[in-house]
Amino acid sequence: MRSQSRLDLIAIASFGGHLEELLHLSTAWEGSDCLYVTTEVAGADAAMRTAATPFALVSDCHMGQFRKMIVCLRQIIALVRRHRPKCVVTTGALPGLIMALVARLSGAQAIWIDSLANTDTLSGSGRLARWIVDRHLTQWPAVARRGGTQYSGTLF
Amino acid sequence: MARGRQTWRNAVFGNPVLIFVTVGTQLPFPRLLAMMEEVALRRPVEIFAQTGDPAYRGPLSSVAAMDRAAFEDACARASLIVGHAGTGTILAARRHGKSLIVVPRQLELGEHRNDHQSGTAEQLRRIGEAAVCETVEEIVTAIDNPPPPSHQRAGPERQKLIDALAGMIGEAVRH
Repeated sequence: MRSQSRLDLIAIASFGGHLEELLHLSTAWEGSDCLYVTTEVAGADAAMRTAATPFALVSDCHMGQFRKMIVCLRQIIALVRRHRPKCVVTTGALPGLIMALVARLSGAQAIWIDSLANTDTLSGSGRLARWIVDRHLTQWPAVARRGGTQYSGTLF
Repeated sequence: MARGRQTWRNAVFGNPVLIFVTVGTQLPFPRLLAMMEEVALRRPVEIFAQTGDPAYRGPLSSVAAMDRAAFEDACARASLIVGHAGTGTILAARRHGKSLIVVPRQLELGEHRNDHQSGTAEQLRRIGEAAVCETVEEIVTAIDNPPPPSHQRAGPERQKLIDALAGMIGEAVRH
């Protein structure tokens, strides 16, 4: 029997620096029910278990890894179907973009925060995300000046 | 030179310099490990490395991957952290208030998928945080004269971003 209620938020980021940034921002949604999603790489499962928070893992994938992208896409579709989030927030990378796309298609809001690592121009996924997400943020004013994204503060 | 003697003195009388080396969770970084193996021959430091490479067979005490608790513990115990110029590493050094030495990954050496670490390193230099090193000599110099510890930036820009996100998410969730 499928739950009728929608989950408030899915917060997704590739394991590692992207996830670190997401966790540093997490006070922004502390009042909401949130499912964390990260990528299935060495150490990710153990790390997420110690965080003692609801989480799911998806296949890691990068541009050009088509088979992995399909696996990731399927897992993300299943998560969105099951949880029906009202909103997704991501610091990237490609799995976050895929989640943003599927979430938008399901009628949810999507927020992209480009990583601190992209000091000069948006990441590849970040550039594509401009066409998909509702709100698009960069953490570097110089990147915002190039257009297509907004600077609203930074973790740096 | 005086600080080189300092590390020897520390090693003999206790208080060895503990260095945690981390290469991040995405890709290995053999060049950094090779440099730290050389550093270990030149200074009596204790090195523990997260290598990102299950096949690593070098002399450094190491693991390939760590869970969150182990990573936090290693950062807490370290006298200083040596890492790639990744955001996770920089944020960790700040969280733990440790001196940080970074060696940026280079795209042309196949160490990364893009050249962002050079940009990150440039930003670190601009604000005077961490020691950005490219050679063994520079790393040894930075160990002898560590940069000031990174600190958690409780600055307004961080809160501004969190508040902006809280507003966006609050709006989305209310529907």
